[in-house]
Amino acid sequence: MRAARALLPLLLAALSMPAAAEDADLDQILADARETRQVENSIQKVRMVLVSRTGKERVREFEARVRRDGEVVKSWTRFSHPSDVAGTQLVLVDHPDAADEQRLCLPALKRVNRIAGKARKGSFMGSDFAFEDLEISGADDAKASLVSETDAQWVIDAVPGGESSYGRVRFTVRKADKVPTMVEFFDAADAPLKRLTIEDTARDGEVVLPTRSTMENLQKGTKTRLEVLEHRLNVPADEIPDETFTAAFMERSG
Amino acid sequence: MLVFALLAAAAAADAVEVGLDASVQTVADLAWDRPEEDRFEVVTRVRAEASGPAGGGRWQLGVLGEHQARVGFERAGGDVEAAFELRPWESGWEGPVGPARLKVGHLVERWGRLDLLPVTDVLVGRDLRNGPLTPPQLVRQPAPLVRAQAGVERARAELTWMPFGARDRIALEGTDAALLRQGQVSAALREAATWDGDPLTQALLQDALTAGASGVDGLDTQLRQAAFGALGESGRPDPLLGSSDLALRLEAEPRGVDVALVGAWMRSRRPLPSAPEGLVGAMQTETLPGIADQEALLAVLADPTGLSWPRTWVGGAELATTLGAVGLRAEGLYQSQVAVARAWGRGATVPSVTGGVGLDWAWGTRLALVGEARAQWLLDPPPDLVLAADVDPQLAGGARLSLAGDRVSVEPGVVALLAFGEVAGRAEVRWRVTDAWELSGGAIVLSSPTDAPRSVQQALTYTGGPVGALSDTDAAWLTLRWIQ
Repeated sequence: MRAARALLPLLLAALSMPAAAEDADLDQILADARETRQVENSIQKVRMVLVSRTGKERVREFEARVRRDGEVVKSWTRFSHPSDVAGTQLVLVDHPDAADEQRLCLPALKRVNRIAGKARKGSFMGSDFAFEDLEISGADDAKASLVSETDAQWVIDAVPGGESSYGRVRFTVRKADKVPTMVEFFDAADAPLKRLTIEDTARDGEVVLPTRSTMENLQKGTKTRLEVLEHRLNVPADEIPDETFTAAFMERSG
Repeated sequence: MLVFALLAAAAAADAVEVGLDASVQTVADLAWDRPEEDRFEVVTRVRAEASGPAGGGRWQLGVLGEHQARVGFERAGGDVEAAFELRPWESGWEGPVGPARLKVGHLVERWGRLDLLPVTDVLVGRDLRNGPLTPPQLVRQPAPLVRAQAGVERARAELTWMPFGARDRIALEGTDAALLRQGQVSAALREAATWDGDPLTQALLQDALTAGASGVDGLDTQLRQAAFGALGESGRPDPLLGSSDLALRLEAEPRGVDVALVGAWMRSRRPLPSAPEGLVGAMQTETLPGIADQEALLAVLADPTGLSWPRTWVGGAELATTLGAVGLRAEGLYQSQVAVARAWGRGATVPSVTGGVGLDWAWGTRLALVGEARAQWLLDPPPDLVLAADVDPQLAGGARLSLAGDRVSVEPGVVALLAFGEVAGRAEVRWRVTDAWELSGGAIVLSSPTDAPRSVQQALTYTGGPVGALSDTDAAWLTLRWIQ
């Protein structure tokens, strides 16, 4: 029941940002950043590379489709690699004024199942991304403050509220295109926990899309690279029909 | 080779997904209860699958090869035997045809919401030949079917026609998970050869039984598997309409809840035994049939199993929703004729009502917990049921703990059959060494107050439940898996 929340698919076009600010300038920065990243409907193919402490790599590939109907955000994610998880799908429907819907399809079980809220906690598919990292709005009740400003960038601290596992999140936002270039996550004791670095972006119309980024877990020594292999932003709604987010569609896409 | 060439060609096409999953599982029997049993088994499985777009829908092609080598120390005729089977796995096409969507092929059609103790998942047959050692994704057996689906966004109807029906695959004889274990059939024949009977036929029958025992012992694995497999399939009607099943599913997804109604007119997935009375009488009195029982004798020779596959009406309902952080699933099913086994190879059909409920809870991909309960009530049951109970309440629980970034998982599970006081516990640890390699090890322990049957006579009058029947096969295994 959190407004405009969506997982990975939207993150790929829009990184988590605090939703509120304490002063007018900061509000405007964030509003501009949000506007720059606003995507209605998108289809993206993504490679996720999990790198262990010893440097061993594991690869996941998936397709994500996102559709926004007013305040309702729907996402469908289907893994295609490796073959033993191919067909695994996750559907999330975020309603602003009602309980969110989540469905998981596991091909091994041949079943599409509704999953409960805690299923969106912790690590996303074994990566260094937490589910909450991937939510577009971040915490709605986050408190934001401007830390520093140069000619090239703003540095903004946000203290998430609610159930966030982070004590503080620091955003470094590039002034030129209002895109966050780095996000640093601190734990409850304010020790550095993770660092997300945006390594490459692509412009698609008015939208600036992070196409290559790395999340490092500074405490575990692991990292996860996200690479957008293909993307189509603001696609017509009829290319992502409502049926995409139903159990019947998941069953036949498994 | 043809399959792999096909898969390689398919991989070249656009948007085609190809997968290969090969594993070698070495199983060790933890308790050596019988001299004839297998001490070690090595099961090699190779599953190749491909899928891609076609005609607005998707095609899929799959094949499964399975090789089993069994090592038993005191088996007559040698201590190592092996069997190989190659069969099509899920293959077919799904796509739009006019206002409907059609699914055609050799496929799995799964009903139900419960995983550990399913209730309404009755359409497909199951592979029960290796008991609890079969990987879950290989338990449901594909069958030829045509399914038409039509509806609106969140409600639909599905009509399924299975022209040849489906059946559970049960090992009748010769393995640790078979209804009759290694050496039991030949031992029973040899014992019967010592029984007295009519002086006119006694010697003839004794010679025939002794020869039969030697014949069973002398069968090589492939032939014995084929012979007993054919026996287990006897009684299935050949004509298309006589075998076919028809099923209807109505499903709706209003916000927050999934509901479905299911119904079918189908043949039983398990056979109904009906041993001839002459044979039953001979076994009970331990005397050979006399000249006056020749008719019964001929009936046994003509159809030794007396199996049939009764039709049943099926009607049920499913529900799935979430209650806060907990997922709730429930199923109920009525069957007009369930095939149940009775003592001494007899059988009966009785109506039954089954209900089940499941709860699950997850914390991301780190931890998942599931608990399920199911109870089946047989209405007006006969008094001498075998491997069944009038009221059969069951409980099951499982967990999956994921560690080291999903590279290591620990998966314990337990099933309790309350009517028989039986418990089966299983645990497996998996280590995903790389994307391509997985190493896993596990063990299963089966506990029952009733010992597993040691002879055909004990098997035919067994008073324990399904766990007890396998309770002499506690096992540990190590599996190496290659995934591409």
